[in-house]
Formats: sequence, C-alpha cells, structure tokens
Amino acid sequence: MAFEFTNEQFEYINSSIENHVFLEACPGSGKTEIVAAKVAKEIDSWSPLPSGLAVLSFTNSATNELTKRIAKYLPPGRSMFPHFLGTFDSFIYKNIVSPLATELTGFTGDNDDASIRIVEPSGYLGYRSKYQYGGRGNVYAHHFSITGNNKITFDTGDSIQNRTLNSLVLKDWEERDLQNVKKRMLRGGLATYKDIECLALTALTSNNLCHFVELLVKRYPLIMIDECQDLSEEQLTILLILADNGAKLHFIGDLHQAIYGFRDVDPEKISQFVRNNDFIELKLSRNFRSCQNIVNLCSIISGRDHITGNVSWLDSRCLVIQYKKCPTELIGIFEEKCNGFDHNVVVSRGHSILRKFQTSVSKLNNIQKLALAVKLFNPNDMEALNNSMELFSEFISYYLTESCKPNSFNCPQSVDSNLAWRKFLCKSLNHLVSNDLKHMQVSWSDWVKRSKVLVRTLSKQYFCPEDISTVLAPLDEVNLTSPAGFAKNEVNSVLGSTSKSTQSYRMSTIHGSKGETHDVTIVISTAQAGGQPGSHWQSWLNEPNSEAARFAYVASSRPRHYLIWAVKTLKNTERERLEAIGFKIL
Amino acid sequence: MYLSKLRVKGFRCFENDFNIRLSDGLNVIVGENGAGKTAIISAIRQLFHDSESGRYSITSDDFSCSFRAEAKSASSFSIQAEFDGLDVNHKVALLPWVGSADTAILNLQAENKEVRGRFKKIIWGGNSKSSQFDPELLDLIQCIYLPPLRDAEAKLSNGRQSRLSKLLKALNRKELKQCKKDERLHPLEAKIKEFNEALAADETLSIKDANELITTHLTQAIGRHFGQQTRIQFVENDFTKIAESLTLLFFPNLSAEDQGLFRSLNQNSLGYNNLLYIASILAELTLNEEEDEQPLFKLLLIEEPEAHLHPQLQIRLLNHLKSVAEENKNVQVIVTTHSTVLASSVELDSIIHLSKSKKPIATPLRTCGLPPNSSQFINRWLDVTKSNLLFASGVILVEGIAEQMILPTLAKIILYEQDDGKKSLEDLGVSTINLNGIYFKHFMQLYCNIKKSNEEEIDGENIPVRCAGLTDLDPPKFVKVQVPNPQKSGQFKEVDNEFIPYDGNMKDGTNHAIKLIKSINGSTNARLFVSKYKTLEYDLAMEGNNAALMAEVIASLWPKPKKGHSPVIDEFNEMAKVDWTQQPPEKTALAANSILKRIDDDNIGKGMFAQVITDKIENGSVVFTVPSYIKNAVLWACSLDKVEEV
Repeated sequence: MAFEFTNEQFEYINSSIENHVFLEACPGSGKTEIVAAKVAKEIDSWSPLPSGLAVLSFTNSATNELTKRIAKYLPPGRSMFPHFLGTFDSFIYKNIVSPLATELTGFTGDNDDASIRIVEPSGYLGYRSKYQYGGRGNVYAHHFSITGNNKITFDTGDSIQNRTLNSLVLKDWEERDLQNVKKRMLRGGLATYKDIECLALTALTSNNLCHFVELLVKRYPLIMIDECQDLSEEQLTILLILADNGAKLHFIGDLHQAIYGFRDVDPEKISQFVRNNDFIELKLSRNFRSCQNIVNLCSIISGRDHITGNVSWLDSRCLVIQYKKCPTELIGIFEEKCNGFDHNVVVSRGHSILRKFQTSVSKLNNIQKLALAVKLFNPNDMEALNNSMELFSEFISYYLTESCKPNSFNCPQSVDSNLAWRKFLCKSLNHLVSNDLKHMQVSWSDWVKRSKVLVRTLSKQYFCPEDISTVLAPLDEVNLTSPAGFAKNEVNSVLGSTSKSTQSYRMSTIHGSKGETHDVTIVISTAQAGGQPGSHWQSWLNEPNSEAARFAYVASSRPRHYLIWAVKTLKNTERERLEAIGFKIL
Repeated sequence: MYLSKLRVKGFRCFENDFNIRLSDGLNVIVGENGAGKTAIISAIRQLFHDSESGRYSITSDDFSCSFRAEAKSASSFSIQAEFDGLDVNHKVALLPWVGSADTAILNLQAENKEVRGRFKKIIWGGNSKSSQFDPELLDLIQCIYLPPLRDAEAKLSNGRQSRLSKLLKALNRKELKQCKKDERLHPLEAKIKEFNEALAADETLSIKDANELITTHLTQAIGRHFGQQTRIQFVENDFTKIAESLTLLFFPNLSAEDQGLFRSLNQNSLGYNNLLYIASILAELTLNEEEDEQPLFKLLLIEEPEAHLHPQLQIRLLNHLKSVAEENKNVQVIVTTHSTVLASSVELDSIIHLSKSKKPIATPLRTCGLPPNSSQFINRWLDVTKSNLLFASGVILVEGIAEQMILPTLAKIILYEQDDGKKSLEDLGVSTINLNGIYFKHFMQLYCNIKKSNEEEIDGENIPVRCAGLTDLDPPKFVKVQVPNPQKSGQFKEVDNEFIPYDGNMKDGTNHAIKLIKSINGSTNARLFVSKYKTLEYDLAMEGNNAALMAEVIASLWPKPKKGHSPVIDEFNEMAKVDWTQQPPEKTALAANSILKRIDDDNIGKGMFAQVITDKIENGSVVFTVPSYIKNAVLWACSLDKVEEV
C-alpha cells in the first residue's frame, strides 16, 4: 500500500476492539481510508466465526466507497461474509425488523414472504385516520411516526402542513386513532423508515425477544459507525441497548459536520453518549485536503483550531463574489474561476437555488416538470439525462395509484425490474421528443394539448412492457392543463433559458457534497437572510455551535485550492466582516 | 442441527402443498415408483450446493405439470426447509433464518420464466425476503448426493475431482492453507519434486539420455537462439494434481500382505466398488475438521443404496449408515429405497412412507401412534415379505397361509368384470400380507387409529393407503344342548354339541379382533372384514356349489390305502357329485363342517389344500363362488368399492 499512515492514524488502526472508541476526524483527514484500513485489519485477523463485525454508514454511496477501499486491502475475491457493510437503516431492516416482521407487526405476508415494504411520505396509500386533524382532513398512516413515549411526529412531505400538525396538542382519543391506523398499516406490511427504526427499538426492548437480542450481539459483537455525527436519538438508543448487551462500538466522524437537524440529529447528544459510555477518544487533526488558508477560515466558522492544513499560500484562496439579484448572473465568473481545475462544484443549502441554474421557475408544478424533462432530455449528457428522467418519473408517479421507489426513479412497487422502468422512462422521453415536444416556441395550451395525446397513449406504445402498462392505467385518461395564468404564454419563456450545462463544474446540495473533495468549491448564499435556516451567509457566521455554521463548515471544507462564497451585493460592514475572517472580496 | 421439515409446492410431482417431516439421524423413504421419492431428494438438492454430483440447475421439467389435457405447468415452485435441533452457535450463524423462533427456515422460489436457459430463483432465510441473507451460509451446510446409477469406478479412479483427491484435500486442508501462507511446498509436493529430480538425474535410467537426445535434436533443428529446454518427469507438481492422479486398488479380502497383488478397480465387482465409493464418502463425511472449517451440518442423500448389492450386504451397509448418522452429531442421512430388505432391516421409526396418490402424502411411521409394544412387535415381524406392505397401493392383511395363497386367485374371479389392467391384484399393485395370526391390532394402527372402548384415543397419522383385513368369525365350537338323559328317562342333561352355523343358526364370534371392527371401519382407509359363518374354508364351502369342488380336492389329496377302499375318499367322492346349490343350508353346513375337519387333518393341511384348489380354480373352468366378505375386502383394497355401489 502506497499510503503512509501518520501516528494519529496508526493509533486508531491499532486501537482495541474490546473497547468503545470514538475517533474524531477533521475534514480531509483521510478518514474513509483509515476506516477501510481498520476494517480490513480486523477482517483479516477475525476469528470468532460465525460472528462478524458490522460497519454502518448513512448513505449507499458512503457504503460503496468504503467497500471499494476495504477490498483494496484484502486478497481479491474475498467475500465480506460474515461481516456486514451497509447503511444503518438497512442493518436494522435486514437484521432486526425483517427476521421478526411477523412478531412485530402482525403481518403474515404471502407466499412465505413477510417482507415489510418501505413507503415514503409521497407514496400513495389508503390507510387513513378516522378523524380529521388541524383542519387538514384525515391523516395518512405514513405521514406520521410514533416514537418512544407515544410521541407523535408528522412528516407529510409538505413543510407547512407538518408545522400545522406538529403544533397540535393531541387528545387521548386522537392519539388512539392515530395509533390504530398506524397499527393497521403495519399489519398490512407497510412502514416508513422511521417506523422501521421504531419497530427495531420495540424488538430490542421487548421482554419476549431478549433472547434474539443476545444472539444478535453474538452475531455482531463489534459495530463501527462511519459519520457518527449523523446518528439520531433513536439510533443512539438502539446502539445503547446493543452495547448494554455486550456489543462494542467504534464511532468515527466529525461532530462539527452534523447537518441532519431535520432528522433530529443533535451532535450534543452524541458527545454525551460518548462521555457516558466511557469511549476512548482519539483524534485525526491533520487535514490533507485543503490549504492552510482554507483550514484557517474553517476554524473560524467552526470555532475549532489545532488543525494542520496541507500548504500555505501567500495569495488569497478564499474569495467572495457578489451577485445583484440572482446567482445565475455569476455563471461567467464561475467558469473563469474553475478554469484549469477538474473537480469543481457549486453547492447550496437547498435545491431551489440549484434549480435556478436550470430554469427560471423556482418551484415546478407537475406539467412544468414534464416540460423541463423534455427540454433537458439529451442522451449525450449524463447529468441532463439523469435530471430529465428524474423529473419525468416524478411527473408520472404523481398520477399513479401505488407507492414508488424514490431512489430508483420512482419505479412503482409492482414493477419488479428497476432496469425495465429506466428503459421505459428513457424510451418514453425519446418518444415524446421525436414527436416534436421539444418544440417549445408555442403557447402552453398548444403544447399541453399535444403532450396530452402522447402521454395518454404511452401505455399502448410498443416499448411499454405489459406490467408497466398495467401500472400506467391512470395515465390513459389523464387530464393535463397549462400552468395557471400561463395558457397564452410561450412555454420557453416561462421555463426560462436553461443555463448551458458545462463540463467545468457540477451542482450539488451541501448534504450531497458531504465527504467529497473538490478543487474549487463555490458556496452560494441566498439573497435574503431569513429563508431556510442555514442558507444565508450571515447565519453561517453567527454562532460556531449552530447547525448553520456546520453547514458552512461542511461546504467550505471541501476544496483543495479555492473556496468561493457567492453572496448578494455586500454593504460595507458586511464586507469588513468577511474580510476580517480571511476572505478576499472581488 | 438437522433438516426437520420440507415443504414443496409446484415442484415435479408435487403440484399441491407437500409436507414431509424428517428426523435426526437416519431417514428411509419408501414408496412405490412415481410416488415422489426422487422429487424429495431433488428438492433438497435445489437448496444446497451438492459437492458430489455437481450443480443441479433448474430445468423446465422441475415445474409440476399435472397429467390433464388442459394442464399447464406451474408458474413457479417453492421449497421450504426447516431445521431443528439448533445450538447457540447455529442460531447465531443463521440468525435471520431463525428470528425469534427455535427453528431456522430456508426458502427457495423459482419462476417458470426461462432467460437463456436459466430460471430465476430467489433464496431467502426466515419469513421475510428482505432479511439479511448471506449466500455463504449455504456453504456451511454440506450436502452430498449419491444418485441411484452411480459410476463408482469412475469416481474412485484417478482423474479430476476424484473421491480420493477430495478426501486427501479434506484431510490436509489446514496444512495446505498454512503452506500457501508460508509459500512453501506441502510435504507430498516436496516428495514428488524430489522424486522427479532423482529420476531426471539418475544415470542408470534412460530418462536422462532421452531428454538429452531431444534437446540436441531440437537445438540442431532451430539453433541456439530459438532453443528450448526440455525435461522429462511425472507431470504432477501441485497437491490437487498429485491427489487426482492417485488411484485406489483392491484385494478381495483383508489378508493381503504383498502390495503387488492388489488389482485395479475395473476388475472388482460392481457391488464392492459401490461399497468402496460409499466408504470413501463416509470417511470424508465423518472427518472432524477444525472448528472454523467445520460445516454447521452435513446431509447425505443416497438414492437406492441397495444398487448392485446382495441382501446381506444391503443390511450391513444400512446399519453402518445408521451408526454414522447416530454417532456423528451433525450428520443426517436420507435414503430412498425400493428394497424390502432395507425396509425390513431398519427400525420402524426411521421409515417414512410415501403414498402415490394425486396428492402425495408422506407418513413417518413414528407418527402413526403405534403403542410401544406394537412397534416392537412390527419391528420384529416386518420381514422381507411383510415389508411389501410399504410399497403396495393397497393391502390385504390375512391371518394365514391359506388366505394368502387362495386370495389372489379369488381376486381374479372378483375382478373378472373390470377393465383391462384392473383384473388382478398384481395389476393393481395390491399386496396380500400374511400376518400368521390375528395381529390386526398392531398392523392396522399404521392405517387407522384404533380405539378400544377402555383405552385412550390415539391420535396418530395414517398411511393413506387402502387396507383391508380378513378375519374369521370363529364362533364357539360347541353349544350346550339339553338332551334326554339316557340314565334317567324323562330327565335332561347338558352336553357339548358341535356347533355348525348356517343361515338361521348363527352365533357371535369369539375372535378378539371383532371388537376392533367398529373403530377400524369408522376410519378413512382401513376396514376389517369378518367371515360370515366360521372360517375361510367353511365359508367357502357354504357358497354356491363350492362344496363339490372342495370335496373333490379332498378326495384327491386323501392318502389312498394300499388296498381296499378308503371310506373318507368314498365319502368325499359322493359329496363331489351333489349339486349343493339345491341343498338346504343345514345340509350344506354339515358338508362344510366335514370338509373343514378333513382339511385341518394332518393328512392334508390348510396350506396344501389351498395350493391345490388354487391350481384347480386357475386351470379349470369350474365355477367357484366367492363369499361376499372376501369380495368386499378385495374391492376395498383395490379402491373399487365405490364403483360397485353405483
């Protein structure tokens, strides 16, 4: 291995698996590589079969990356058995909830299969509460979760509705109503991700199943959590029970990069957990990624110091560029700054800013999704094609009467093959484009009229497999209408001009860029303070312990060479504030 | 750990749900051809990687298709295996298969949709497909399958994947692993290398010269620039190749001391080669490896182990298999057989009966609710001929040799009217089993739950095969009759008078089996039929003109005096001339009584009589009338009773 480890890194690799360990790793510290090396070392000397270690992360891409790196250290062809590598969710789903599905939910399944299907809030389901809540009508069983102490939290997929419902004080009979409909849904074999977590907790705390918990801990006596700053309170509880039954925990992560507040992740709870359970604390404080200039600026944002960067430059590596109204004005400058570098990414807190780079309409309604999907469709540009298919699948799933798999282009549950679904999406788009829907210099009403005919006959096309055609039945009589008030307008003008997709930089949300390494990172602040928390630059600098600061920290610690913040035209005081922390204002 | 339950649906002959329960240790599956014995083995093989007969992939024939005109083959099949007897180690390894239960479940489902010759199949453990599934766990279950037609010689001789190489590798697994890690040669490899070098260097052997000659000519032909080195040696250089080039030799008994006397296997008998083959597999199976290499459990599947073996060897082999299964904790042996020898030599508890019916049913005989004494009784009594009953589609249990002999012939008369292919017991696969006594209580428990009024109800499973019992009424031999007392006129005294039953003069039987009738005849598959008057011969004589024929046979069998007349022969010759259909029943009864007495006499004997009259009926054109209780029994066992009612 060409990789040379530092003392700090060695200390972790050689740490004991008989103890709880917390490795705090700063950005760019080679954390993933160290975890991979540690896992490979343990796997290689592993003896207590049939037990194995569980290495858990929070996204599939993180798991894939880790698997790839571990494989480098191991002899080729070596299987991971008996070890588990995967996401936290899949671990509890596959190893706790699924094997106990019938006991936990009463769902008996069919064909000897009692697998519980996961539903998203956007899914279409018929389990509704008996009563109405907060003037918002009946509540669907997959739009809330019941956590320990019978706390009911609503998650409908609509933030305004969530706020209304979550502010309600529920009466006993209302709680019972909601509990009943939840029970019915579970008995029907459906659950949300949150429900799976709750079911796992139920399993681990139930008296009848303590035997199972003992076996589970024997099966996975060591659990390693990568990106441990993303652990939610429920997940911590699950780990605590496993630890109490004898499992050892290794946490690896950076509490300064905790940005999942909306999922109830509180880094303070994690550090408390670490303190309460006698973790051995280790640190990686050397940043191999960014130059010292960027590291210094990040220290100010996060309030953490003693991080050593890669090199120091005399010229400024942290820049601020300003826009007047909309960040899309800066496309030219972005191009210029990225010139000469390979991995350049424009990041922002939410999707809405990113979408501005694709269309001038900020929130798309369904027909606009279709129009944009058609407009973006370009088989030679992977990113555009991906966006196009995503939008088109959202358009279709809006009309379907069954739940979809959001990670697979909203593939309907009853369609077995995700591949067949992707093929269908692509061929359908091709079909729409070859029937001239890309011609958008027409009024919305004309365009919608033409698309309606095509959409209604999609299920009859030769490229539509039988099972998909059955699912598409609701589309056969679909009624499409122009966006309200725009019937006479030209389609193109409403959609705006798509900024041309360039090869020089990529777009991503801050969440999406977590763990990445860029050459140049352009962080876009919203124009107005007071939108989504953490989306405006002022909130990034207010309080180092806030989540907003952590957002800025995650985004700003990505680049090797240049960090660029794009903000709305600054007042003098604001300029001084940014200059004071090391930015050069352009 | 052992395979305790198998559920199959849509696979081969199992169109509907089929369940079979297996026990720890040895299982012997018996049944008619086509009952589904091989299908059970195949279903198990679908689940595991079998290390002996190679991969068994799904073919379109695996999807069941019933023999109806409009039948389509099943759109999918599913196989579910349940494992019991798990210790903590097993449970931890198979955790998602176990869940919160005590048993582990493994499922397989295949869809009847062929994509380039392959069928889609899904395997999952426990009750949810979405549970964690490690395919490696299947490798922890070692399954060895021996097909009915095995080429023992090929497997034992040298060659790729030979038995010997497998055994040697299993024996050396740990050492080989260590050698690989240390990058050194295994001692065997080193020895061969040494040997090769010695050969190549030895001046006295011509090998060195041959090699030099070749090299010289090669160099002359192509010059030094293109020249190549050659070397003559035994090719093998790595462990696998060396092991595969070894071959097994034999000597007919254990006394040989001179190694030169051993012969190659193609000179050995088929049967012994088969035994050698099985022995080499058992050697590997019982090898106790290091803890972490040890499979969780080993499953040995043998179809028809009796192949090529004479009865004594069959029994020895089966007993050995049994002891292997018993002595090695994690070894389970499943055997299918047609051999009555095997079936009779194994204990009843190991036997699983498989019925050939529309819906095949497996009945482990241990679940039939046999009381211990019956079970012991049958174990001892189930000999080669009696174990026929395990392979029959219908069974008639009789008390003695006379019934056993005459019944097939009477059946032909009864079945005369039937369609071709249903005209005899052999046609219908129905066996007549001679119990040599009134032992219905023991045997019929296999077919129905017998309840005696004073006993608890037995709730056992039953073999779903028609079973008819034939028994004698055995009324009292004598009756007390008041007769005028010769000493004291005007007074009566009681005497024992021979009781001769006929219509209008009947008495209840004394046969203890009669008490079972109510319970047996209430069951689905079993019936007990009782003679109307007395015993078989008596009842035969009471029907039609049978008495005449029977009298003729007695007359012909009765020993002839050297000179003069035998009154017995004269008497029966007279009887043979009477048309008994015209006689009143009490007269026929008297004739029947004396016929029975003479048959029972040591001069003739029931067996001899039965044999001769059977021949007579078979050959002659005589009209013989079959008593209705026999007729009913035959029709019942042949499952033809319903047709009769219509």
